[in-house]
Amino acid sequence: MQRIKTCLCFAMAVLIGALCLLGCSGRTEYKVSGFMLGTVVELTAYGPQAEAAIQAGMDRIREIEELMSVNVTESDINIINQKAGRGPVKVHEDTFNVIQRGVYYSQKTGGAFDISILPLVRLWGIGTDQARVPDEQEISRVLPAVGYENIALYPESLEVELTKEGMALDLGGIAKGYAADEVGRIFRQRGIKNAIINLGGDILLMGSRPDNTPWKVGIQNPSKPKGQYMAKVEIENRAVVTSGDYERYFEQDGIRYHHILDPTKGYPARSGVVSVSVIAGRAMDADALSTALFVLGPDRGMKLIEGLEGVEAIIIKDDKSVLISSGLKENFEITDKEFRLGEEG
Amino acid sequence: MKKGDLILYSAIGLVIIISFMALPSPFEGQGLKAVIEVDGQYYDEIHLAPDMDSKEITIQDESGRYNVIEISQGRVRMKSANCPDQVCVNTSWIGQHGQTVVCLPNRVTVKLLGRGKGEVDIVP
Repeated sequence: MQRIKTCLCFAMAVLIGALCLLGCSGRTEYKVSGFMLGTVVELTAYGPQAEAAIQAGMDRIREIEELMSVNVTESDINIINQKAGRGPVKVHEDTFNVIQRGVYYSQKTGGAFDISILPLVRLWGIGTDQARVPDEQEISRVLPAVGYENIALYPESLEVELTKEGMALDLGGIAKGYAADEVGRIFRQRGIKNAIINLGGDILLMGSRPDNTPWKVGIQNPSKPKGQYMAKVEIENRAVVTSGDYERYFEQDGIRYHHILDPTKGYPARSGVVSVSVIAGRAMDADALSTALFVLGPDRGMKLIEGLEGVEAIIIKDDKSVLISSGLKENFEITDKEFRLGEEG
Repeated sequence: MKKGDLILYSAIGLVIIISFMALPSPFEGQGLKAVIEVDGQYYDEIHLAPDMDSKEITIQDESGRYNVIEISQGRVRMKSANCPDQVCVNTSWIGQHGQTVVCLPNRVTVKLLGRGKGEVDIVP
């Protein structure tokens, strides 16, 4: 009798243990979404501290929006832009750092990415109800106001100056990435190990999946609805950002005019590329580089990526060939047969 | 005999564990559903089936922004919207797990969620 009891106890213990394991294997997932920085923000974190961490993350994004959005009247960016050509403006340290990094990437990419592109963006109005193709005179009138070399930075006093009248900064190509990195920093401080930080496609993946396998990221099929992927890549602890001509555009006389403008030419970039995904340690870097690569095109773009440590890229060309940088050979896989791996160069 | 008992009960325990693992979770196996969010907040969800009746959902806010979502034959599209860029309307029909229609200007998203989890965690 005693033995049966012991055995029963043993069986019960095994059962309870198993149930516990099942319960815990799906560790608490917490997810919050909202609209900030002009896009859909979705934060997913795992573990007991997730809820509080996500709240703190959302608060941080709101702070960044207040400082850097052109849609917030009193933002640092709007004040800088209003004072263009009329002396320096003191800004918040965060704003200064983002502008400094923006100028760094503008230099690094020879102006293919340029944070002073706003006058051109306004002229085209892509994504607004005033979108139209400007005539050549209008473009040549606006182009001189675009140029990162006319941004003066004073690190000691945290001042920024646009030295030419008519200039205007647009941190749209970098602020979302910065915000994702900041949420990542807050999550780390709060002991979060696994998280997906998604700011409208600027994605920072913290750690691995909760089950310790790498995150699987789908690469958007450029000609299919959002969410349908043509390839997948496995990554851990990295940021991924995709820039594509299908994201925002308008059509006139059967021609598609997309939102990634070439800062030197004044027109939507036509480099034979339909989408660029960049994988980097920081979302801000991936954000700036994906835009720059789109403008630079496949050859110059890949050359730039191969010269940077810890940065990888996936370029989809308009003939459906796909270029990948050398560090992705092992963990990249095309899942849609319409696409094929192309030769470099 | 005592050894036999142990084996017997362990076996029973094991069978129970395995059946728990093999059983689908109650949230899976219900096919595709469309989850609508407005301003980042849950708004509505509709289970999709190929033989369902067509249906239109109109979302309108105080400032006059509107989106009309059409559901038909297990698919969803943004039929019309008064957003300036019309990217949502141009997306056309979606009908697979993970696909999304987003209307950024009006802050409306429709996301399709299918059986269990998809193969990838996210698509930038």
